[in-house]
Amino acid sequence: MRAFQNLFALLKSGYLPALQILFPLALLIMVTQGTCHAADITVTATLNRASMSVEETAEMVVTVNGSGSAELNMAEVDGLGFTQRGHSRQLQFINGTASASLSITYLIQAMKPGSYVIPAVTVEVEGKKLQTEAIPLEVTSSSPQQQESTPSPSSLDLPGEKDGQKAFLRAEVQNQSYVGERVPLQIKAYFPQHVQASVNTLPGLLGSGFVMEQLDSRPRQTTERLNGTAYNALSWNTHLTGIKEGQFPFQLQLDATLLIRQKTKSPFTGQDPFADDFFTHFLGGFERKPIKINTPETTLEILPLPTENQPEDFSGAIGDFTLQVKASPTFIEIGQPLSITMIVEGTGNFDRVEAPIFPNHPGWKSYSPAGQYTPIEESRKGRKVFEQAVVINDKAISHIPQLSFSYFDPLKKQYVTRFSTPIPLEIKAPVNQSPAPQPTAAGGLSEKISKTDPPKTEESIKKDLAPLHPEIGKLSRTFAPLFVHPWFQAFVICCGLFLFLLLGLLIRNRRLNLHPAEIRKKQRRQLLTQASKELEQAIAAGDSSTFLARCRSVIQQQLGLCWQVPPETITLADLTARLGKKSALVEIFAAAEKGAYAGYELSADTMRQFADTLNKECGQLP
Amino acid sequence: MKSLFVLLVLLCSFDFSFSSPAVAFANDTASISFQQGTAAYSRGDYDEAIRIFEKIISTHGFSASVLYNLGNSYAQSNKIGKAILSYERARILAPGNPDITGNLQYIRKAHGIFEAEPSLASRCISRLTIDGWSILVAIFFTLICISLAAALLRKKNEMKRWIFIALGCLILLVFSTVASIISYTSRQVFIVTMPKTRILLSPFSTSASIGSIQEGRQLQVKKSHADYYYVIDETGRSGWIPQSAIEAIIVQPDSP
Repeated sequence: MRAFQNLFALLKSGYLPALQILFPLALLIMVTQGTCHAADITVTATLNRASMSVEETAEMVVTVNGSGSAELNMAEVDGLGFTQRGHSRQLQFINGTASASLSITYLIQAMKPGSYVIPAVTVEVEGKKLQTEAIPLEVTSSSPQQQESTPSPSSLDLPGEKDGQKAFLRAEVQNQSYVGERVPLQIKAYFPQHVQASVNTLPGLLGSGFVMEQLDSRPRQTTERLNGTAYNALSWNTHLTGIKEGQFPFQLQLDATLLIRQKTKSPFTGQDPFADDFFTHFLGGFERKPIKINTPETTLEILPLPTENQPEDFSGAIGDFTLQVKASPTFIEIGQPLSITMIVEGTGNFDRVEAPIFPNHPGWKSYSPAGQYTPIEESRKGRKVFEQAVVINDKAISHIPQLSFSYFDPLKKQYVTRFSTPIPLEIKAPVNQSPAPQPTAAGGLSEKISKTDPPKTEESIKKDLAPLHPEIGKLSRTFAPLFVHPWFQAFVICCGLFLFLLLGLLIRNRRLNLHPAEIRKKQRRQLLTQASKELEQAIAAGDSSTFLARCRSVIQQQLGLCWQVPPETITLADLTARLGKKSALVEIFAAAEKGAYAGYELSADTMRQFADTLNKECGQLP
Repeated sequence: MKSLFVLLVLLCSFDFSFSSPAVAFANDTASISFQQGTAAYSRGDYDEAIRIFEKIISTHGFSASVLYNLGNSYAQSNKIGKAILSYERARILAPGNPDITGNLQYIRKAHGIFEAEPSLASRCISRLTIDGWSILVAIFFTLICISLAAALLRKKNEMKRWIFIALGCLILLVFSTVASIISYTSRQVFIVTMPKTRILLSPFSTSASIGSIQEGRQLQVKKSHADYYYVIDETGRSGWIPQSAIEAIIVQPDSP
């Protein structure tokens, strides 16, 4: 690789013409380097340090001068691990003589402290075996700066490792807590250093009876050595809170993907053809192996809080807290609000920490407190600050009374009550009877204090209510709205159906209006049906003149609608001109004309024939 | 047309309830109890007033006045949640009543339970009761039918005018229907009636709390489990709350 890099550097530096000569020459030398005399070849091994700790590594370089290729045979040493980290070749021209050298670098890791001797490395060059000198190496235990993680007795057993798994998960939590208590939980995922891994999910809780607080998506990363193996460790710190009493087994599970390097071997040499790390990374010689790692099952016993000696103001806070109370201002007028700040600080379940109860007294009006929690950085402590507005209405009030906050201490296994010290106040009568401000909806003192609304005491609230209604009004048994009543629904359904009917008729009429030919055709059909009946009656009565007159009018009606002209204006000449002399309708019309003006009579058979023809011809009109 | 509108107005104003002697007697009894409740309130015996008004509701039913007076009695007893609940119920029956609206706003303001400023649309919708909007729906439905029938029966040149009227009624019908739906859904809320109520993480009494909620505040119930409701408050907080700590503004029929 270095040879390629040097070549690339030369190309970049503008030595291309020279290289045109030197490169073939160098290649010739490299090819023929095996012809160098063995007497010119020397082998050396150097170690960059004589001593190291078990966490550290040493670098050993085996250099072969006088040859560009060699085969090394490293002897195994119990307690030491050798990892080849790369090799380089160099080509030198001194006084026209070319010489090559080969350097191979190894990293040495020690499994345990002790005095070691790295034995002589056997190098085979051109069929001859050469040896380096043995090198002593002193390995000490861990350095004081690096604290080796010593597994606790409960976590020494690594089930994942026993099963041949390469990574494992461990949870450290106390095995007993109280309902509502926040128990610290440390989760650690271990991945061997020689394995690349990616974490797919955050550790999840498998179990019931408690809740786990959300984990940080960026865990702390450290390197640890367990049982002689170096691991990359990811750790999360969180809390478990028991929600009901009992014994609850649980596990934690993590989804990860291991990238395991695959060893490739040449079918010819039996060695890895891309032994260099560069090729291994570049060609992606890794296998992706998804894994699920679990902690061993742990049981957490959740105890109920003792009911004995439970203070009245206990709100469920468990931990260790302090109470501090401040008031501002302490020199006020009657009716002017003052802000009481109550600070509860410590460790524990702050979600259950509630403001100390301000005692009821006719001399003041207290509003609901508003609390805000702030974690204290770089510690497990937190602080919850409550702001409460109080309006003093009595000049006799001389101090803010002692406030108390009770919690359960799980270490002492007893309830503890913290008291504040009374805060002296100086009250004076209002100078100009200016109205006092109004607290906010949240209960804290408003930043924007209203100067129009005086503070409302219970009595004033009662007085300011609108009076009672004197009449009882119409009684009802249900709040059911009108639309759920069946009669209303029936009415709406009827309206809907009627609406659909009307819409259907409107649409139909509109469609017919858009196609007048259809209307005329329908009209002709109706007229023809009616006329057919009359013609049948005339035939039955043997009334030829009526029959002919009706035939004439039928032809005029039908053709009038068809040609869109007034029926009475149609004459025999029109018929002849538009239908032709041979048309059956012309023949019938001519006979009808004769009957009307010349007293022409028809036999019953002829009338029947005319009637059939008339029906047929009129039915075929466009 | 004019006679048609007169007929419609008469139909809408017609009282569909038919009174019987038994009903009249019950109303008399309720009226007597109502006066007793009012008297108890006047002499400052608010617990007795609450008892009487609650009994009227359970025995005879409720009216805006009974609920309003009950709300006043609760307010005087410093039971804010119950007072707000009663006022809210009364407001459903008589949305335009200034006493009900005034006392409700007053109690809320005095105890720091402020509501978001209602939008113009909300104010418009709240002008009528849900039944008022329902009647408008029926009226506009009828008018559409009449207009379309007229469009069919009248001369061709008048058809467009009637269809235009029907379209106008259709727009008003849609608005009334939407207003009815909004009025109905806005009543599906609960009021916290128990002081010092906490919202819990899980439906267990020993569960961790995510904070407390003030008596009188409104909640929306999403689901239930055992004796707990999963609720969302006005600020968007969600969690479990005991069923006994809250009451629905709209109660189921026959269980006021």
